[in-house]
Amino acid sequence: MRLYVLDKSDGTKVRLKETANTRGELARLYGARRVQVGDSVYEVNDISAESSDNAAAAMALGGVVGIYGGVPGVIIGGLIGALLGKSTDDEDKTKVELFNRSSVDV
Amino acid sequence: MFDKFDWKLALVFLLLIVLSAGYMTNQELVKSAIKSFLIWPHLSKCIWLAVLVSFFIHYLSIKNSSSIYEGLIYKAFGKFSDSAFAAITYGLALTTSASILKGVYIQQIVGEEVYFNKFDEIDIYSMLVVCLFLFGYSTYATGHVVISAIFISTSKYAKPVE
Repeated sequence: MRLYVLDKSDGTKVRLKETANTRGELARLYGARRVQVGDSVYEVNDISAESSDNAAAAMALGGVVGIYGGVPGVIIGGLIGALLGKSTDDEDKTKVELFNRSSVDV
Repeated sequence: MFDKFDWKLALVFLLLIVLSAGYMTNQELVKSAIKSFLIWPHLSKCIWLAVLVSFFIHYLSIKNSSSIYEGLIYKAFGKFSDSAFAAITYGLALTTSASILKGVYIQQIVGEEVYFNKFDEIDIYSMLVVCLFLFGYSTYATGHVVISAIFISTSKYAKPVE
């Protein structure tokens, strides 16, 4: 899971180094409800989370490592990689939803 | 319809088909390349070097971060110990699985030498599956920390405003 804010001037995503499970936890981590990122000031409620994408990379690696076992190895390795990657992605999406649903009272 | 289509997975699927086709048409060449990789005398040293560098980069990227991390070693002993323990664990997992894979591959797939005299076929193939999983998982975990470190280095700190 990655945290970001939308740049106030051009709307591009500015990714943050910090991570937390909820906006409340993030506010406690900062010790404040407002933070400065670059030249702009944001409310902690302006910070959003996005999920990372692991399934494709895990599937590719599983398939490549599976070449030791020939064509069946590539297929089984790719499938196992895709399933593990998908499972990680699903967990990440749950964390993202939890963070994005949370808020800090202003 | 195309919004939900996962292009990355489709591309990887295509890559695996090409890989399988390449293996089927050049089996001896691929087997010889894998064997050369596994018997390379500097393989273990290279794996250790890659793992240590990866986790050192990871440690540098999280050293000054105030984020909340999960994990028993981190909570009890801190960031350095967590990174060092992970580097040793994955380094050992990668080098051990590569060594066992060398024996299993040369014995079962290439058929040149017998490494495991008193093992049944089922045990040897089980070792192949377990070691492949261990090798793949450790490679993924090591690569993942480097990618995370690169991501953190391109991200920005947020400073509290009162």
